[in-house]
Amino acid sequence: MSRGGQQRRPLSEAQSGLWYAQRLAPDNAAFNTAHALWIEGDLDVDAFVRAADMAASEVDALALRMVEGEDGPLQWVDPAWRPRLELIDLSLDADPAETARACMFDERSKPVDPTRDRLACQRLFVLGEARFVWYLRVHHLATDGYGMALFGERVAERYCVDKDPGISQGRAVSDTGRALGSFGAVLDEDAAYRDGDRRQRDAAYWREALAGAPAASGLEAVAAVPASGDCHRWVQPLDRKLREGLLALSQTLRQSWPDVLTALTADYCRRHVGAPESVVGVPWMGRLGSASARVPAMVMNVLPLRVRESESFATFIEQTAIALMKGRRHGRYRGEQIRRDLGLVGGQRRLHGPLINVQPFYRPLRLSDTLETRLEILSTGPVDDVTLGFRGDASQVLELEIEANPAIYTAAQVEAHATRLATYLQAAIDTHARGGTLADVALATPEEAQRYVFDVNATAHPVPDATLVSLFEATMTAHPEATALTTPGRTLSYAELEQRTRALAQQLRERGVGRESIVAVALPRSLELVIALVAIQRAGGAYLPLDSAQPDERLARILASARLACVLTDDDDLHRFADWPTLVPTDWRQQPEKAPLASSPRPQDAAYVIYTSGSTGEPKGVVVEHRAIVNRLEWMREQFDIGRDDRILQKTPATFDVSVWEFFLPLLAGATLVVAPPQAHRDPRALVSLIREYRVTTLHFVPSMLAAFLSTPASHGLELDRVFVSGEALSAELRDRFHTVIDGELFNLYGPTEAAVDVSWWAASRDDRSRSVPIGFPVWNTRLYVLDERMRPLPPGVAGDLYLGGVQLARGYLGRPTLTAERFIGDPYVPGGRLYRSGDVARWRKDGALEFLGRSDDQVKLRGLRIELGEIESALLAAPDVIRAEVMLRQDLPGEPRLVGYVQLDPAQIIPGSDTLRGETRDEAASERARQLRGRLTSHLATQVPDYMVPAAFVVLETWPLTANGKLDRRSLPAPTRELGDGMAPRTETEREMATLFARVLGAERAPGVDADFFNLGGDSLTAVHLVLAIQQRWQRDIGLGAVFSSPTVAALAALIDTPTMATDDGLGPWIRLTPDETGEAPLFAIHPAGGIAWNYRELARAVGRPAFGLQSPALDPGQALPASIDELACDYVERIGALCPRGPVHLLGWSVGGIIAQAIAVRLRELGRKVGLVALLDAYPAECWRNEPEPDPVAALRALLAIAGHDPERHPELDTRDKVVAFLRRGDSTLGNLPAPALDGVVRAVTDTNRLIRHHRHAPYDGTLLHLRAALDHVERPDLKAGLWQLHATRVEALELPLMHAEMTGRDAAARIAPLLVERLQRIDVSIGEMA
Amino acid sequence: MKSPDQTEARTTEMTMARLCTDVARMIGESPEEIADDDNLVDHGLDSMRMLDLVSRWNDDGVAVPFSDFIERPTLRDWWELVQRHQGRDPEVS
Repeated sequence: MSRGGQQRRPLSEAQSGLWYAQRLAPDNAAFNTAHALWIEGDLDVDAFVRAADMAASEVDALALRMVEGEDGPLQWVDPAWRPRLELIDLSLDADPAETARACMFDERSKPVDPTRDRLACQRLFVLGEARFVWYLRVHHLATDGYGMALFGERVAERYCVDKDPGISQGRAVSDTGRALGSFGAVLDEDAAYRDGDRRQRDAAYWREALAGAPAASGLEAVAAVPASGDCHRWVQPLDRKLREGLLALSQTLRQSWPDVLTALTADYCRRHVGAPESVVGVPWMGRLGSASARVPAMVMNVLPLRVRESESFATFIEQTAIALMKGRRHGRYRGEQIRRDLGLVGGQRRLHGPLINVQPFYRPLRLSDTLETRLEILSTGPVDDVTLGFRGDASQVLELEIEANPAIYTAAQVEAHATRLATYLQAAIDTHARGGTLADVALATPEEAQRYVFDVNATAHPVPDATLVSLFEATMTAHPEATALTTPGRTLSYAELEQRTRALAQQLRERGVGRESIVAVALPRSLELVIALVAIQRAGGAYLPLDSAQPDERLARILASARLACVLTDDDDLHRFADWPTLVPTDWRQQPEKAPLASSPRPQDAAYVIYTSGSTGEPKGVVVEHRAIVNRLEWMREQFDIGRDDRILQKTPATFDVSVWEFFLPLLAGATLVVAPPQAHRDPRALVSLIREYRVTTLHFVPSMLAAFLSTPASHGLELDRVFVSGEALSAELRDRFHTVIDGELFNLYGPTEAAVDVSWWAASRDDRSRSVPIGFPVWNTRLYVLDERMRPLPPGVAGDLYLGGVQLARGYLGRPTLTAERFIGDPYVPGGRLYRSGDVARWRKDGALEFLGRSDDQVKLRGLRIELGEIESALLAAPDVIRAEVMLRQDLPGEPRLVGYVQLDPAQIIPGSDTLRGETRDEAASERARQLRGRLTSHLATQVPDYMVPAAFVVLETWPLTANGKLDRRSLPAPTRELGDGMAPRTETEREMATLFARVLGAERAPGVDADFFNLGGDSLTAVHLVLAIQQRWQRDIGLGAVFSSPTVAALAALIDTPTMATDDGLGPWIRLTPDETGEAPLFAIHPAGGIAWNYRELARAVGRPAFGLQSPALDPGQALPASIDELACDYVERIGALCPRGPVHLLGWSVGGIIAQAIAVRLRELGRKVGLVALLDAYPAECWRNEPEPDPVAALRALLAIAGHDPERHPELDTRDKVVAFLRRGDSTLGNLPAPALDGVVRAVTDTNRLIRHHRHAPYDGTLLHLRAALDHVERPDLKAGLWQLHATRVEALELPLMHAEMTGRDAAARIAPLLVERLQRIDVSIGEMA
Repeated sequence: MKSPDQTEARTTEMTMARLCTDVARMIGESPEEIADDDNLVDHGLDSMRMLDLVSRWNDDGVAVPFSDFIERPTLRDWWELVQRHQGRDPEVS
């Protein structure tokens, strides 16, 4: 490209990446790079203007124009586009510098459209006699930072030469210095690389270098979010001690200091991720030995760098330096391409985490000896996550400059990282000097350590030196008449409770129960159960609750390990405890002796023993002392102000330690304990009745049970004082849903059995906006630590192991001193204190609340119940033929976690010849075998573990997937659907036949399982019609297309067939469900296009993946009157929306005519005060565009059907009668072609009627944003059809262009393109609506 | 062609010998292994190491900007650049 040449050339690879990024986000101004040079002194303005203009004329890149060509974007140089220096005189302004700043900010915040706007702009603001600022803004498509600097230097050089011709920066040259180089040559070089061998070699290098690399992660473990807008910027100079230390270290290690600094910073990043390996990004300048050495252009590339921890400091630095060097040799290969090669495209999966940018030069831009200049970088381009930059030569100066995406990091976090990184670097240098390794360097600064070990744990609070017994005995004495316990049909006052329990306690004492005795309790939930627990304690002993649903063997193991004094059980279970002394309620004494009880327990005596799952197969008994549980209950009583007026529901099984506060808190507070009947906790409706009847004020739920409870209509509008959740993670969605259903306070609690029920709490209130609901703050006299593997505290935001300390720790595991010593260790921060190693992973928030992140081992929770996978694995191994077993908790269907067992069978035991059962196919034989094995394993397990621990599905494996380290790769274990899955094989004749039909219609070889989803197997609307027809043929039943859409499994459809009477769902009703998803997210409503039917949105809705409904035209029903206007129609649709989604925000989508209606619906929803999120218009244009179109006659309307069916009507001029059109459609096998005649009539009616209504419609303005997606390949005859037309009818229009034809826009390919665009916006909108609420 | 004139007095002036030696040390080879017209990038010189070199030469008074050096990374070209900036005839002595 010669200077001044107009030849159009394609963009370079580097430019292409930016082009598409800008086109996908046209409102994003982050691609503008900008800097400001503040000048003080006697600047010769004319000379400067000359210098700036002449320099600009040397730089082709600044004058680029671009256009979207057929094969991609093109660029050319337009001399008229050169950015001449604009002079702006602000010297008379009140605050010229401030005005200049504001001006510069506004200018660079305007997003640039490369097809329309200039890429570069430069201005000189005159602030006063001797004060100026030179502003330069260039779009990243034209240059990178190096290019900006080149241009700046060239301007300076020309200015110098202009001022002192003959001398230029000390050179004795007579010309104007050396002009900048040729942009064309840069493009030539890029083209040569693209077509050359070198590129292949580079591709191969990166593929190999990154094989097996871990997923990228930033410094805060939050999902990636696209960069937009101004980033947070923080600059701080690094002190001399650090600089000198760094130089000395580099010398000792014989590496360059930029590489050493990069390596240390990369290790800092890796430590935040907490993994042995992570991936950061490093920029590659690309100028060395290149035609671009002296050309401002966009050349810069970002390369991934794998960072692996190492035993030796020197080795780590060396390996990282080598990786950097090798990467640089292959550095021309675009990072965007590497990302594509690795399959990381789609969603927000990144190639690397933080970017580490060491710029080891520091040359202030010098204009002349009499001028002082200061360069201020305003923007360097989009920052996806965080850039950790260093600028300077280290010997004189080194500045740390952090730029961070404000969507991920707050300004406070950026500042914290600056301090932490600087501290880390100094610590690393010092540690090396002492002969240590990088692992010896703590990640938290000393201040952070102090805060997150001591300050957040300042929880000391006085607690009475009492036991449960002394406390509840005090209540019994103080309020004898008050109701202590109640259950349907029975009530006990405190006085009565006192008597009954004293009587039983005396009876127990006679049998030898005293301090430290253990009494097992196997009673159903009843008043007797409560009496038993209280009595045992009054006798001085500890109770051990037993679950009678456990298998005998397990029960026996528990009983054997505890030295029992006695078992309290009832007649039903008596036989199971034949070997133990028992006492059944019918034998309990009712009346106490006169004498008071002789001895009561002491605070350090055991109060209860609760068994939990053991990882080696042996369940373990946790012994909790009185002082521990007293702390917990007294805290709860005071914190939540529980008093005599409260009524607490007892519904949690006694074997679950949550029940402990249910049982005893009322007795401490003088409240009433409402005892639910035995199975009530499983039935939400029964619970609602109980709550209402007894006016319960306080109760507990495990989150999955709470979700079920909230789904029960009866629970809506319940008023409760407090609901506590614990046992599982509480999601933000559930919290929010709670507050829309229940009027009451919600608290999230956390704690293991080993720490007296709960150690932390959080108010999950209506105003709580936390995306991850924290487990919160420590309770009284309790400490929580988040530590690394060396027991050092971690800074906030970094995940680590959670340790619990304080008075609530259990004494230990009954009879298991070794295990106890392993889990209960000394507290390194509190002399004499104990810590419990929870096995949970957590992290601190800045406000001192803890977030729970998961387990570090193989313990899982299923519906709140703690399960050690090892216990199930041990049990499986005990089964005959099983030589290896692994168990996993999987969630293959969202919201449905289940246990899956993987087994390897002894090959010698497999029955030979079982493959060829006569008369059956191989598949059926395999299924049969699978069924038998499953039965065998299940029966075996049922004798070993409780029912909730029996896996729902089993998979037989012959080989096991391994990671690179040779360990089991759990993530690669297959989902069970293809193997011995649950519900796999058809159970009835109908199911068997239905499965065969599925296979035939889908062209599959094997019949699918009964729970397989038709659409997941590859079906679409068209094949669904075939299925309906096939079903009609086989069973003479027309189940209707709608039935396939709403319940598309073999089992469901077979059930429909088998049901004697059912209404046909032909899919032409007022609304259809487009996806079965029940994610709890705000739903999407898709409005029908011209034909009145909304089936066409199915692909797009499924690709988007949230609940979605299609609204269909009333015109489809010949019995329905037609609405008089679009507004009336919109009101009707709004009512339907209200019925389907009564509360909360909704999103709207409409293609073509559907878009017009969607805008009207949005207006109406707002009038009613509903929140509207996304309003997406797929190639829809406002009503006024169509006013002058001729009214379609019925045949024209039918021809419009061709378009709806995906055919171009222009190609079929011969189809000019209704019969011909219908015949064509039927022949072509389209969905529409198979509609029965009345339905087809309905569609025609819809087309004509809607068309008429559109032409009379006048849009009211919508106070919100419309997202317009334009079919860019279409509209040749109507180029006036653009997104901008909507600007009259909405506050804001966001316009996107897609390379599609109008008719394709709801097809499968279009769905793949459009869905991610919608999903991103939907998520963003959901969050911002949530924050505004 | 090199001119390792050992008798030349040690001054802050850059000599071809010193140029060779500095470059060779930076890339871990001996000066004999680098021909005048070899592309130094092929010898493993990358921009980070170059920055180091150039910064040191700048500090020693050789005022050649970095961007000039990186354009053609060969010993011969660099020697020419240095000569030009020291006001000498680019012809090798």
